[in-house]
Amino acid sequence: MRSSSLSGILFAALAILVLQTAQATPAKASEPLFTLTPNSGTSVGVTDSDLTEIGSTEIKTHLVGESEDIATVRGVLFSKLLDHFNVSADRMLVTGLDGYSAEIPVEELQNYPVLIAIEINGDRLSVRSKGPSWVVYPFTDYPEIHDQLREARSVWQIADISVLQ
Amino acid sequence: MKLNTKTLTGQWSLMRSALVIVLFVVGMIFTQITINTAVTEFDRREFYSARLEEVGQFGWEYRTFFETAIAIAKGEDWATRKDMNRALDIFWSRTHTLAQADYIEAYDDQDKAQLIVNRLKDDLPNFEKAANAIVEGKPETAADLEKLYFAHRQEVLNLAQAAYHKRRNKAASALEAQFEATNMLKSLNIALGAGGLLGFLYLLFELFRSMKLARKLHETNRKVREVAETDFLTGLYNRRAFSEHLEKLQADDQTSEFNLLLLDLDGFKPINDRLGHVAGDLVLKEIGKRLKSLADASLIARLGGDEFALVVDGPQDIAAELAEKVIEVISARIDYEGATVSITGSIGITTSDRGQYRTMSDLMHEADLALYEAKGRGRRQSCFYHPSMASELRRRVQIEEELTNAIQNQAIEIVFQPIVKGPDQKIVAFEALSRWLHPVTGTIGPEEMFDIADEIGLGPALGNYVLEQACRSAKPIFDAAPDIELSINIRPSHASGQNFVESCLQAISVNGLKSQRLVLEFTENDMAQNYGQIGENLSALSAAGIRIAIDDFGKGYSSYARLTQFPFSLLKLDSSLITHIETDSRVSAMVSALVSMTRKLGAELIVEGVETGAQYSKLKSAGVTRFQGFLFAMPMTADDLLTWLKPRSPASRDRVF
Repeated sequence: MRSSSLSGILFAALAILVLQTAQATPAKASEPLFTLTPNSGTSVGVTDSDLTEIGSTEIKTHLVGESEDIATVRGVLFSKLLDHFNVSADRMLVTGLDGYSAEIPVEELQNYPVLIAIEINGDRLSVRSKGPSWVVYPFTDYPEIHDQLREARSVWQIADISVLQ
Repeated sequence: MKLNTKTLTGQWSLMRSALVIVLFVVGMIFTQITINTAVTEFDRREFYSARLEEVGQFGWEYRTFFETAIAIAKGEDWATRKDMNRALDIFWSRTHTLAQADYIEAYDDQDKAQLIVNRLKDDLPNFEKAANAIVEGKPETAADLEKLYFAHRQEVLNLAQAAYHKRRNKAASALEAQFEATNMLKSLNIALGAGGLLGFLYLLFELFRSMKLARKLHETNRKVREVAETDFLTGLYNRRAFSEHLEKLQADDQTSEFNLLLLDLDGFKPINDRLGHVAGDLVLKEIGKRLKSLADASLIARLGGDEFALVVDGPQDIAAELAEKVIEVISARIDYEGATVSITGSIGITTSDRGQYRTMSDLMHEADLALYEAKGRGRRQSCFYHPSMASELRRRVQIEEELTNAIQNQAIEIVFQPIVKGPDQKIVAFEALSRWLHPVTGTIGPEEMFDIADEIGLGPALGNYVLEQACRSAKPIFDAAPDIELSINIRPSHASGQNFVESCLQAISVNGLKSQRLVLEFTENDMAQNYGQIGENLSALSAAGIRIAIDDFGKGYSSYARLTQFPFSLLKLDSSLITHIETDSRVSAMVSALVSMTRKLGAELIVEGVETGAQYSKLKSAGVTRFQGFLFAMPMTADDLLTWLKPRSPASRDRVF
């Protein structure tokens, strides 16, 4: 009995540990970070390897809903993502895990280096830190687009990106 | 306009303009500020509103997480562990977000809100632990979580509620503010509109002002032009304006024939002298008025002094008509302060000829020549230009130029025409006549020569020359016929000279002539018009024995009354008197009376220009004793006359009949 309860405790502790860390562990390379729904309507899961394929970009900007400090943001260019998956559209709808959604005109994504960020200041984003991915606008470099409208478009916890029209 | 008034109006309009610009700029700035304010207000409200909505979400996410956890504990199959963890993550994220400084600012009671959120944030690891402790299907494993949940539940819900209310208020006030802003903008719009309208009206005002000024300027310019173009006294065009208009007329291809009339007033100068310049001006004014009343002329101008010009379209007869009317109209009496003034005029006319282009000065020149001719013909008439006038003028000018030399070089010769007397036509006297055989212009007779000489002041010189030459040439004739008389024509310009008496006496004595043999001839007109100047000299000469003859009696207007005023020994009747003596018996009667009159006055009558035998016999019947004319002899040289005088045999003697 003692050995089974002891191993049970050990197992439980291990499980807790694993589970705990599991929360903090970012998604595996094969698990989709979010879905992309193009014109045809069939959603495709965008994974880490997809992002690696596309190639990462880095910008420095201050972030929405956080302090005024400049953060180093790494991710893929939204426009590059669309190109990679041959998505052509005028407007995209970005939906977050918490149900929040925003429309973004594709032209804006082409005119400015808007990122789908996955890492901030070296730390990989988790749901708790507004991940797994977050639409980040280059507000510091382009102060002319720093307004409420673009802040509203900075959707965090991206769940899905769909073509609107 | 005085200078300071001008500066003042200038300054004032400048100030006005500056003021308007300043007002405009101020208006623009004000508008911009207002709009900026309105827009910024919008932004901030939106921002706060968005934050408050997230607080609402926060409450919801709190519940969702708990629901999901309990469902798992109860073993309900709709909830998965993954869902619960996801919900926890989202809630976790939300809590951290709400803990941010600028989110807190959205609440009224910021400290309280901050407290609630931070407490929750601190408890998040415990929530996680409690969630992990849950086992599917075992509700009791949710006990810790329940405890934690309910510990914060009320606060979270209150916060969410408060945020909800706040959001509603914000929305309401945002709406209010929107209305306010809209109203503000509406008012601004009206103000701008009004301002714009005022500005526009102001512009119109300025425009009208400038238009008025432009009109005034135009008017002033017109007046200036008028003054520059108008003769002040008469209101007619002045010389300059006239030239311009005439040139335009000449240059204009559309113009057909037109006539230029140059009018010169006769007898104006005496009026000016007699009645004064005021009178003279009034006369000119009156003349101007009368000329204007003639509607025919297209241009009327006063060129200056007493000279006027008129232009009339059409052929020559129109011009002639107009000239007549002009003379008629200006000859009418002018009354000046009780005195009646009489003026007349001479007109020279030339017609523009489409065939041959002539400049304006050409035309003026021609009209001038014609005018001169009109004056020469006795004034009070018009005369058309004829090309020969130009050549005549050229001739005259040439004669003038060479006259002095001619006198010096003795190119002027003296010829003599005999005067016969009695039944036997004995030569009793001879008249000296000068003539100039000019190689280019031909023979120039004494009348023309003396006229020209007088005009250029060579009258005395020429007169002296003739006098001396005549006396010298006559000497041999006197030697041959001591009783003969020498007759010399004298002009007043010569006779009025101081040295006249002396030169006459000298000419006589130098050539050994007797004073009683010399007769000086003066025309009746010359005598009458110049007696004042020459009378004294004539008396002196008469005293010396020299006799005076009145020439050209009956030519033109003669006055019998004034004959009594001059001393004369001989009266020469002009040939024009005897032209019709053959046919008109009254002429003989008149001649007869004249013969008688002359004799009674102690003088003798000579008739000039006897050309026919019939005239001669009539005259003889009328009692004339002395004759002169081509019937008897032509003017001849002294030598020829000598030959004529030599005693001849009756057979060889040439008797006329």
